[in-house]
Amino acid sequence: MKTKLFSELMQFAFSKKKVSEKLKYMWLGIIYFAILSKNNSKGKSNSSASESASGDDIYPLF
Amino acid sequence: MSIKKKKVMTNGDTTFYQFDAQMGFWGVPNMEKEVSFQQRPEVPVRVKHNSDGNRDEEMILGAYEKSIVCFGGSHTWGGAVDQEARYTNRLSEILNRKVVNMGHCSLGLDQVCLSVLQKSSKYKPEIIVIEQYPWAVHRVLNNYVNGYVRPHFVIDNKGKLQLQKVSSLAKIPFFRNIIGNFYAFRKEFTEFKAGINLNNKAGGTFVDPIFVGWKTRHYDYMYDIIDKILLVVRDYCFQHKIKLLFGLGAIQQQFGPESTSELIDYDLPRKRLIELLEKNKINYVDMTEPMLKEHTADSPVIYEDGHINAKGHDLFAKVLHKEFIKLNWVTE
Repeated sequence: MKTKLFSELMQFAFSKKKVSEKLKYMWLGIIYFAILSKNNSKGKSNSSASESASGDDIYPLF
Repeated sequence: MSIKKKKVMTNGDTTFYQFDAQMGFWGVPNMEKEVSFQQRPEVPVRVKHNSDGNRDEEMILGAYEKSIVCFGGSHTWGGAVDQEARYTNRLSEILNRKVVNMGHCSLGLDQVCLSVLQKSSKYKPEIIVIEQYPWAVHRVLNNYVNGYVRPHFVIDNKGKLQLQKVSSLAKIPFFRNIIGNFYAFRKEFTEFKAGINLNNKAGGTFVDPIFVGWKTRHYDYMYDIIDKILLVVRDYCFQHKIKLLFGLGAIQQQFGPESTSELIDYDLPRKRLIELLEKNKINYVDMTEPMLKEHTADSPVIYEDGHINAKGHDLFAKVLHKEFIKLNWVTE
């Protein structure tokens, strides 16, 4: 799972046109990898916005 | 309160906004400024916020008086139009009763829901109107807007709606940028995995994927969140004996040439939203037909960027009024 995520992050970085952007997104991918990986391991399957960011206060509404 | 010199406002301008711990951002209270908007830069427009940060006059209600409260985005706030020309002001004139404008630029349906729950009771609403520009439903997936982190909803593993509040750190712009940049990266990464690239607008052939049939699956989660948000608003209104009406605007692209591809449908977000409103038995009025009918090249109802102009606002108010009568909420 973690390998897949890392691979996707690198694919995302390499999809950028400029070399500077590729490097920037590789760097960001490495930084955010831990948070994204943690969310993935929780088993949340929602694609876009379900992952929580550390430091955020989450509580059930109802 | 002082009147400052004219400024040209572009879409996404945050001149009138500041950090708000509950909503992510909200109007700056007691601010008054004469500005011009990119839609008609030659015309000065006075924008005045009241002590609640709403673009409205101070509202004092009588002991037994109830109001009509209108929520929405920049259309309701009155982007590029004079305060008096907005549909809320026009509706107030038609009905001769107090209509509160709680519209704010770039507000998402999630923030509207939170505003209904947390800010509306002060105005003792009898009727709540939620103006929703159908394309703007995507905002529930966009957690970082115009430099502000937005509170948003997620669906947990048990299928329940959860609120993800704005971190208290977001009050400080430095931390807000860090959190926001993560959200922006995560959104872009998720879109990349779905084959969506919102930055690739070169060549003038860009079509927002929200209108594209084969990208619909990516937005299923968004419509699931909207479905649950609608339920929250509906139940809140039911419990507090408030009448609820959604006003759906016409999408800018619908005023232009029809799509030549059957796979591109500018009506898609509107149809999906209507499906959800009907499923949840929520009253709505669709402005598309009257707006398109009244729109001509010489006398348009929208500006080039899709925001409704004074004529559009007037029409919006008349259609709302007609719907109120139809629903037996007001007398003729």
